[in-house]
Amino acid sequence: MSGMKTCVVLMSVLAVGWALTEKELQDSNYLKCNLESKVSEGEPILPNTEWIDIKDECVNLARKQIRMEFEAALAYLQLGSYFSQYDINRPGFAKFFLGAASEERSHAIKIFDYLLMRGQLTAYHSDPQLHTLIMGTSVNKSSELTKLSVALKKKEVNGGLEALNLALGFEVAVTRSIKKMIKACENDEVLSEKEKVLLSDNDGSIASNDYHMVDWLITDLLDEQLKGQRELAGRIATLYKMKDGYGQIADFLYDKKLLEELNSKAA
Amino acid sequence: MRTTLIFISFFVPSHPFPVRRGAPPVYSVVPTVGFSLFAVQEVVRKKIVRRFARRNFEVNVIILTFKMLFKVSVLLVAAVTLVNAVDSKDETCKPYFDQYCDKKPPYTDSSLRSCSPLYGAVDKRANQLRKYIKEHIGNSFEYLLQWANFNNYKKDREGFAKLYRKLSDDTWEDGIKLVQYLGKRGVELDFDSLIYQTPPQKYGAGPVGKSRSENEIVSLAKVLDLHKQLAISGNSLHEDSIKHDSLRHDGSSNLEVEHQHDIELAHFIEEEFAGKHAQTVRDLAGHSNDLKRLLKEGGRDDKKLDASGFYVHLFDEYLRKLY
Ligand SMILES: [Fe+2]
Repeated sequence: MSGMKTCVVLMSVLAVGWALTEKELQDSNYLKCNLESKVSEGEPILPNTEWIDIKDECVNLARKQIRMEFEAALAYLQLGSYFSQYDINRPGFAKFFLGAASEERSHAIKIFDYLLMRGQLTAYHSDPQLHTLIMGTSVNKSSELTKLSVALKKKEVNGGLEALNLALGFEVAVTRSIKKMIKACENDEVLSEKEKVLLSDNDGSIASNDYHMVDWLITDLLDEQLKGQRELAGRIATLYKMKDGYGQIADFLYDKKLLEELNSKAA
Repeated sequence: MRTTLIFISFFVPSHPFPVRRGAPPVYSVVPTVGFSLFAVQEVVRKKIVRRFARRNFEVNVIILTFKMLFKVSVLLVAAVTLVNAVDSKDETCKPYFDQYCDKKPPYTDSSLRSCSPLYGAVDKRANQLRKYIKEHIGNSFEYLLQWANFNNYKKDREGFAKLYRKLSDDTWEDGIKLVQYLGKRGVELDFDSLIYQTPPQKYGAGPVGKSRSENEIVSLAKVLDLHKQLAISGNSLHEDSIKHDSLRHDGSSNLEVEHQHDIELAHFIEEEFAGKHAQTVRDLAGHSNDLKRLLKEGGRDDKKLDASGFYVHLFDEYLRKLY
């Protein structure tokens, strides 16, 4: 009988010991990865969100704008590649459009930067449409990008002049979209619920006109946009006048001039 | 002696008679075959004349005729295959101009085709190269999202953000470099396939909308995987471009040279990507292991004193100075 008792005691001691080591092992293998989910008691001390006063409509349009800039980047990448082909052979135009592609990407980054400064983009991957545009797994035949790619494949884009005109068309669309964003950001009539609360909580001291964003849109984005349009329009006019009566040689010479210009700008 | 010479002439493929792209092989075969038939006839005639002087020549003539017939057929097959052993891509440019220069049209503008820079096997790697461009642009975009993710006020990890931004810029530049490379080697970009193509699955980015706000170690691991995929794709491009050229039967009994070897493509991948990718992948792996050790030590006593926030901040400072 006592043998039996000793046996039970021994067994339970072993079981407790085993459980303890297991616990210790689990503890020592514990890898805390997510710093934002605190297990410790008490509320996590995070900055309050009162400082985030950007209008919802503004944010939505800015995100759409990011999408548009990336779309333009991919369109220019296509045009750059088109002029790089041996049968087209326009290195000046190729360099111009590949440069423009990187520039459009930098515009998108600029908008990212602004939204981050205003306390936005705290959730990763919040724009599946943007993701689809770049990583695109589904064919969207109606998209502007696809239409352009089909036209280029069939060699329906006839030389530099037409490509420059296409580019000016993209830029005009982008400019309109920026203006729409400016309107939405200064509009103090359409308010979201959160904005209404903010407005009443602060006795109207927070104006819903987002002066800063409007200013940034005008002095940074819109400024670059208008200058870019002027540049394109100038190139189109020059090339058009050259081409009048001299088709091939005008394209050839203008392309070499463009290459020289871009190379000297880079140096 | 003469037979030897004639025999040798069969083994000089294509060069005695210029072959141009699109021309049916018969143009080049006709003179070869005609010439060889003539030569063989001559040899048979001489041998038969010599044998006439001997006895039981009838038997000999029959045997000889069979032998010669056999030889002729072998030679004919050899001639046809060797003359046709030209890749249709190895086109020549000059014949076009020989054909059209200083001649009054009926030629149309479209019959004056462009001379191409194509040679080697770069056109066989076209789809791989397009996919590679797509991978670069897709990865560059993923890294940019990671940059934004660590640049928001809640994360505020300047070091991580700098690392991802640098990777994103670099990968984008490489994508453009690849677009220019296609242009250089005469391969069309095929824009549709650039925009709409399924990204790689094993190491590629996950399905849209599935991933939530990512923490430091998970993002490092993810970017490491993504970048490894670029290195792997570069490897397979290189591997395929150093294969040996091979002979291939087409529908009939003709042999064709199938170009697999492309020294310039192999060199381009080595020079521009191989070393750089290895270094980046190594750096990312190193960072993730450092961070893992820190997280393990910092987060061990998770109830009382959680040091992981402090440790990760120090690690971020290190990255900020590094990049
Ligand atoms: Fe832009």
